[in-house]
Amino acid sequence: MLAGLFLVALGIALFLRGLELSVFPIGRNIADAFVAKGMLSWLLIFGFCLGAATVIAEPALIALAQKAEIVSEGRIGAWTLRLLVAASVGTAIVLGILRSILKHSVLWYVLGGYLLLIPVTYLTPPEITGLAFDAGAVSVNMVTVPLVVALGMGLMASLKGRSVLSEGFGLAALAVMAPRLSVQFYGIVVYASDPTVLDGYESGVRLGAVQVESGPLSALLTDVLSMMANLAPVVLVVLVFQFLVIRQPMLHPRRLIGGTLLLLFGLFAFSEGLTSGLFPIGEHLASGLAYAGGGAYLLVFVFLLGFAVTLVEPALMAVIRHAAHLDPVRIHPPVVRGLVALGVGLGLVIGALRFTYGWSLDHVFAGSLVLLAVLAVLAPRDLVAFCFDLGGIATSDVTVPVIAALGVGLAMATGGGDVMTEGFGLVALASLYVIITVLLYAIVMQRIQAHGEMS
Amino acid sequence: MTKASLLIAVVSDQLEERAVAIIREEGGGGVTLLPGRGLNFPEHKSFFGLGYRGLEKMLLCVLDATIAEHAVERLNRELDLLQPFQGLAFCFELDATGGIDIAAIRRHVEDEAHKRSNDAGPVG
Repeated sequence: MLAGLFLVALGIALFLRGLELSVFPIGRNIADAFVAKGMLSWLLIFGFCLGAATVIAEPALIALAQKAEIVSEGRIGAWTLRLLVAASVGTAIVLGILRSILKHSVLWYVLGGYLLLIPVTYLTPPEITGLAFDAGAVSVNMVTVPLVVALGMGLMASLKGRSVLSEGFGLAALAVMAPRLSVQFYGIVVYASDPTVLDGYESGVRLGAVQVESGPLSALLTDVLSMMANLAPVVLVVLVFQFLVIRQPMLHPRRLIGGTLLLLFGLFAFSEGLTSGLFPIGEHLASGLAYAGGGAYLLVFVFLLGFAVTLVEPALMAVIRHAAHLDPVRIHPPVVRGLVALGVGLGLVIGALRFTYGWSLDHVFAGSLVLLAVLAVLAPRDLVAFCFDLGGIATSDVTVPVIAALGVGLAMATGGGDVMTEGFGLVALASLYVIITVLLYAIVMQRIQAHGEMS
Repeated sequence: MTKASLLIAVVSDQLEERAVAIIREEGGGGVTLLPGRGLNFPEHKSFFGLGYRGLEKMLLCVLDATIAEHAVERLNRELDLLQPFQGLAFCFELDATGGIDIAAIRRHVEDEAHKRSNDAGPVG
């Protein structure tokens, strides 16, 4: 287990270095080339393909789709579901790119999405809500999120009159939301014809969902292969567009190859460390909840678990570090990471409270959204998109499986309750409260600064 | 007394490696690389009529004055800097330097040139 934790630390270090050398420059250079050549339609097609490629081969999504197909006895097609999720993420990226070029505020897009989501959630049966939510959670992954973020930042950096900080972010936030909407609509359509389609679907995303039971060496090999298969479509899309559309050689090839190798090693060490070290600990702790009793202990425990888990989310570290270059005065990486972790903890505590007191998820959700909207209007304009992205990125490879385990533990601890809808509530609340916490901090800091300047 | 010059080259991102190679060949030891964005002249318009800010690298290097001039000439010639969107290079003399021994660098460059001409001698 200690070895696992060591692997996690080593993996993160290598992974972050690899990102800086390969993924971030690739995203920036591709964006730069599209702008230099003025190829807007190709850029949008690239955005769509990139979004679709990031999720189509994601092992967690494949496992999810197969599960849904089996449970629904073929009425929900595994491939239909995968294509639907891929298409919705692609569309979200296209919308996000247009939004940033046209300088629309990301707030309206995200709020619009959430406002659609609430009535749709009422209409869809809980089984589908769980499925839709899981689909949203698997659409963010450690490699693709930095690539998408780099693309957005690169685009805005290449365009005169656009600010990287205020318009460059927002792609990730939309990419997380899109599959939730599309899968719920799909669910409504399927359900309208047959209301018993998904009886027995159990929510929960596991990183090692596709692991095969076999000897240690071949298991290791399977892990490597599944990691490669997951990344292959993204690599393919990037290469095809680089050589067939942009028609320029890759810049600084040696640096890119070195960076990619570091990234792969890091990713591999990290995910091995997760499955052997961190996840067992997280799941053990989460299942221990059942015996923790209730009250304040439970809340403190839930908070600390959420807080700690978020601190090792690598995509989050990478994106915050990158954003810090843009505004070193206001964005302090350790502070922002702490705030995001605080937000996850807070969201989980509210989820747990909701559980113990039996508050309705829709009410808590609607209340939080109103709070979010108010804060987003008050917050400094240029930080809003960044805050929304943090919300999406915070619930990713590390946090989601632990939160799912926590949902099961909580359902046991508080006696009953539908595990599926609880899992949904928890991850969604965690991501919402990340945005709320960071926005609140931004507002307070701005006020303090303004006050200091006056006196 | 050897004079030192500051060589500044601002080149588009894809020329970075070639520019560094040229400066190195001319005897530049350390080169500082700064990433940057620049507006071209005439301004290059992209979609929706938005101006394009291209990726650039700024190279800074302190060199012996005559070597620096030579390096600027080579950069200009070999990287086609007079073509649009390629970049520019210039150098100017410095009053004083610290942390760098210009005389030693000059000797080193001369030794290298000497060695090269010796190597080339029997062949040619």
